[in-house]
Amino acid sequence: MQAQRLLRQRLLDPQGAGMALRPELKAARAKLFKQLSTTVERPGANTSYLIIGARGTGKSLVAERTVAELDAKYNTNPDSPVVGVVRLNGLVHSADRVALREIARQLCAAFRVSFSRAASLGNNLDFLRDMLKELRKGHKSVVFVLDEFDLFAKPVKQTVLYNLLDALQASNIQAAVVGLSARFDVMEIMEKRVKSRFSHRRDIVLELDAAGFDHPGSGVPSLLAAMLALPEEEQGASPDAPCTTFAKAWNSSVRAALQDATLLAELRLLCDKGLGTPADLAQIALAAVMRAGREPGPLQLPCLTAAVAAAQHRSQVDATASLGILELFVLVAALRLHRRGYERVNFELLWAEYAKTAGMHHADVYSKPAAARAFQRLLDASLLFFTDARSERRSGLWEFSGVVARVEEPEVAQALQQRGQCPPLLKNWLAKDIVHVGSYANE
Amino acid sequence: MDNQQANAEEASTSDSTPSKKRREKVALSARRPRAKATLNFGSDAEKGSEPASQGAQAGASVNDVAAEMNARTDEAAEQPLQQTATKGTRVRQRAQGKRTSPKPQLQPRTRAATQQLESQQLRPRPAPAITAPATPAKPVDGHTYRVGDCAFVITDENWEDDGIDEEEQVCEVCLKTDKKRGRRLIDLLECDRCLCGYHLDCLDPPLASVPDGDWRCPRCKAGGAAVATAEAGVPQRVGRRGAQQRPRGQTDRQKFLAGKLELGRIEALWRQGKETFFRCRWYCRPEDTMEGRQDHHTAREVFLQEVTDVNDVQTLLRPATVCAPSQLQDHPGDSVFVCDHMYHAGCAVFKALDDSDDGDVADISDDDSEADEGDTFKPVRASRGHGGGRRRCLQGGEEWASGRRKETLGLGAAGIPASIRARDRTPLETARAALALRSGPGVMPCRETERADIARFVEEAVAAGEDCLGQCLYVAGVPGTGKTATVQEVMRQLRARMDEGDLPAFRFVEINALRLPSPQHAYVQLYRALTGKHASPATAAEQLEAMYSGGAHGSSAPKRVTVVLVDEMDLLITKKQQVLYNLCEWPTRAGARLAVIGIANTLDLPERLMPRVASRLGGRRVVFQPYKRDQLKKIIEQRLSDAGVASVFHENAIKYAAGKVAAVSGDARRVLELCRKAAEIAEEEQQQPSADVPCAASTAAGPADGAAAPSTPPKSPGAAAAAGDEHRRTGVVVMGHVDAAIREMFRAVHMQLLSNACRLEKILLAALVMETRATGRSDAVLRGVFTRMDQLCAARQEALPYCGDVISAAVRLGAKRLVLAGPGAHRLSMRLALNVSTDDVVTALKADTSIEWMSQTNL
Repeated sequence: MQAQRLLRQRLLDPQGAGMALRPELKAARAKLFKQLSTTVERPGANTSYLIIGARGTGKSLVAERTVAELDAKYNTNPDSPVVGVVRLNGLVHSADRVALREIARQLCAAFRVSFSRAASLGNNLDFLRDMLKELRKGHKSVVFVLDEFDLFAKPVKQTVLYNLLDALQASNIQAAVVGLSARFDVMEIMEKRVKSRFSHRRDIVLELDAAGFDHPGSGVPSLLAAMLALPEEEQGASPDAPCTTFAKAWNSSVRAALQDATLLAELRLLCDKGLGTPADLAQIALAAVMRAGREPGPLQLPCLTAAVAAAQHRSQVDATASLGILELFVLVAALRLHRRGYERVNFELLWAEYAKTAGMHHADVYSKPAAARAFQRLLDASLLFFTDARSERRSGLWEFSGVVARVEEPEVAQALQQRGQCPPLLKNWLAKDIVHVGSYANE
Repeated sequence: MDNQQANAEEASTSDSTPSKKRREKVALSARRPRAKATLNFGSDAEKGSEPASQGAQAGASVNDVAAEMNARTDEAAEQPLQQTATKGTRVRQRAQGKRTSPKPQLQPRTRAATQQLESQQLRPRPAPAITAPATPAKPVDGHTYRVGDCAFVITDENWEDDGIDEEEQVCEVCLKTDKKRGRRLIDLLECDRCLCGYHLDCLDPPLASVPDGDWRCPRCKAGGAAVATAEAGVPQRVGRRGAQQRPRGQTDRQKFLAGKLELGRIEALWRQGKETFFRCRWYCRPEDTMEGRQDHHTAREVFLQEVTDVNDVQTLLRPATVCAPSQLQDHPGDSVFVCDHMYHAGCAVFKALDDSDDGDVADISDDDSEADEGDTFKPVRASRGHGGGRRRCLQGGEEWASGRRKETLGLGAAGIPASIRARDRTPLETARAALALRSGPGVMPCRETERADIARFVEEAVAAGEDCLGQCLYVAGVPGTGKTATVQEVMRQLRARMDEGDLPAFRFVEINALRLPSPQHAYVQLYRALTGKHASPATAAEQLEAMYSGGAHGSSAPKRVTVVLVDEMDLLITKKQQVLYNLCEWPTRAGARLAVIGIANTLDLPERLMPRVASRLGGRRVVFQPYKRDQLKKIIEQRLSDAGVASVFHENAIKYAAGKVAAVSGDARRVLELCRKAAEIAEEEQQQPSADVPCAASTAAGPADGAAAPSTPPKSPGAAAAAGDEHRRTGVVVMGHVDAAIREMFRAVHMQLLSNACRLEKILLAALVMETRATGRSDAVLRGVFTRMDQLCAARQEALPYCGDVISAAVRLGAKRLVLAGPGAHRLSMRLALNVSTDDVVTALKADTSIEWMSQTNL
């Protein structure tokens, strides 16, 4: 029970407080910490830093961990924090007005100034500059963490970036800007004014290397083991940590499970496909923990296997496999038409194609209105897609509006395999162009 | 009595401080808690209210004691508080002179500790002479005090002036004042902590010259007694003297540090009846603050407080000087103190004092004095939404807007952190600090002609006064060439000249288009700067139009020339270009007295505007060319030599960095950052004298190596490393460091990302390359790429990829921007295009080791 809580807290924490860092992340964190502590300690040592890395590799983790360390080191007096943090996200705070208001709000919250929501954009800009000047006088500093940095560097006016970086240039301001981005060319998309003010310091967080799969520190199985490990030490354990015997049993069973050859092979396949990023591994660990919570006792191998299998991202297949027979017929009709060269089909064409099976003596013969219903259901499930977005609103001519199928033949084939009772005509109809009529009477 | 005082204050014109302080002085002094107070300030108000008795007592005692002394020449009577800053080290300078030596010849950089005399000229109390209405000076007991001076103030009732004027510092070791070697006088060095003197020779080991920076005597280093309080200093000396028991009193400085005297700054002087009062703002000692005296507080450190009191001028004892830490060597004498922080006793917070605050106040006071000229503008601090019109909503709440922000604990420092005070920096650290990107007040090198052009333009515009017509200047240049900095420098110089009276009065308004919510808000800024009122953009535009179309003698025409700086002008371009048109057209009106300086990046901005705007704007242009290599070199060298660390960078390193940046962009910021990063790398190396040296030790670098592994392996020691060793020890930045910095900062990262991609992504990239090559188009549909992948995998006995995985891989590559991918919803119909060069991809793939067959593929 407590183990569940502990592990879930660790895996679901947005700031990643409990996660262990792999060596590359540790190195990145050390570098960033060094930069930021220079900024905090020496006046006038402003810095702007960029961390580039693919999705799920741990950039936010590094930034949050560094910020937490700065907090622990410098904010010894709870009434008077020395380092304040402002966190922005390019997805949420993309508009200038929103972003500046958010900056003002977080600054006010960090340094105990009252915040007024009705201030305008110009006021917030002035406030930012004034606040930085005041903070310098009090020997305090601010760290701005900008997630999804490339969304702040949109093509038009990059006001937020310009103002932040310009404010850093003023004399003796103690502030730092840390940007996190997935694009490797994020520096080129910055405007020339902004780019000139940016100090081109950056760090790259690389993905898990396939060659280092079995590496004890940074390989995939060891990372999984670290994510699932429970603390084992006797003394100094917090009261809500599970007891040591249980923790030991848990850890040993996790280790045993991760020695299993098939599981390792599956994990290796996942990594080859690129689904082995640390974020994905965290998802797998979470799924395994959830499954293990259903029965008492330590984590067993089947939980991990099931979790890994669920991570395979076969959602299209699953969605297709759960359709009704008529929908499947319509879908397969669309695929056949595509194969024959029709880029777009419409309902009439689909009905004509489906009607060709009427002469094949099978049980699934439906009327046109039923087929129309099936067509709508496929549209709702996004397996068929209107090519022209306006067609959705024109209800009168929907039979003739072009649609395109969003699933591929192998996926549908697999879905048909997966499905329980699938008429063989359907499989054959999908697989071959010309279907002989007579053979089905005997099957 | 308090009412009278208050009335007297309001009547005085000599007040130069903001008006809010007046009302708070009594209240504050009453309720302020004192942690370690040795004095009771609360009683000062009463003291101020009984000037007659107090003054009589003080005067009497002073006169009695002073009668025993000889008259001496007046030395430190009038010292203005601010002097121009001189560059140099922080060596404290004391005049080495006997009583008869002439005053102005202060020998530079010596630390001779002969006490300078505060003389007391004995005269009966003269009638106070008010010299000028602005700064009345009050001679009291032979010293003339002006507003802004600092002085010792007697607050003790039982004050007895020991009248120690002549204090000769003796060396603690040899107990002699002078020591000669041959014909030269050996300098006396003053310890920064206990203020005792030591001959350079008497130290062990003997020093050859006065050391830079702080110096502590051996006794303090060994953890000696507390700082120069009287109790610590005197008994020891008396004890050691033995037979030579000369009764030694205490100097003013020692008395202050012991708590018997107070130090204050005169804020206002006025007469009331027969007596003269002054309002003083107290300084406090480090012991009086919440955190007490810390190690990093020097002996002469005081903190400015917010508390003010009104006292009779009779309580003034002697003048003193309080200066900034960097100016310490300019002020000889013993009664010199250092103050760089302000202490607010109510909240127990420190705030650094700032020179630039005066600059802000000066802008407002421009308008203040304009009111005296009978202008129609109402100059008011714009933060108060006063009289008429709706209230503006400012950020930060009421306390921010009213300027009483110092009272929040959240903003001030609970104690001065010791890291700020750490004075012993290595040369590399100092170099790094000197190279930081900051727009500090300094003279920009290599921009003399441009500066002269701009200065000439502004001077002509200002001097023309009423005839100022149609003056627009356009400044163009790529980012990082110093346009804004040069214009601000010019304005600073001209403002200094205006203060001295050389130029007629003018006003400077700065508008930055990227700080405005919309281009029309430029009107709002201009209007606010001219009138101090806030209005919406449309209203402001109307008002400005009305103002400028009134003609030369219209009622609402401005009386001063206004110089407007429009930064990032290309962002003010709207569809109809109305804002720019107005800004360029208003200067041409009669009586507008407006001059506009526009800054942008493109040289041909006026040509891209409408003809009517272009003709007005494009008249005069100043072009800032990108910096050349020599100029960049000069910039770096000047920055380093200003900080005194010119030898930290090897000359080749500077040349190399300058050359690299000049070839690409000529951006001054870039070269400064590059050198700063190189210094950081050098510093890191210096701190890790182990074998794990990063490849920064290698000097000449070839082109960026293709599949560089993310973690650099330690290089085996070679000839380059041996040279690197030596440089590492001495801490000099060489070309190798600059090279490593260039690689780290400016190298494209896509090669690393390409080699780090997963297996499926690499196969996808290979298939994409093949597809684009086969079709001859630059982009491909994923379906075609997928078929090619199938073929590739079938031929190489690789597992056939599943289409869903391929789509996810393509989307991931698109997120990294290694390829440009359409939206993932299109699935196999999405279009892909390579975002990096094909050769790079091919190189990366061929060098890849994880996929064995890739190197033989015909890509």
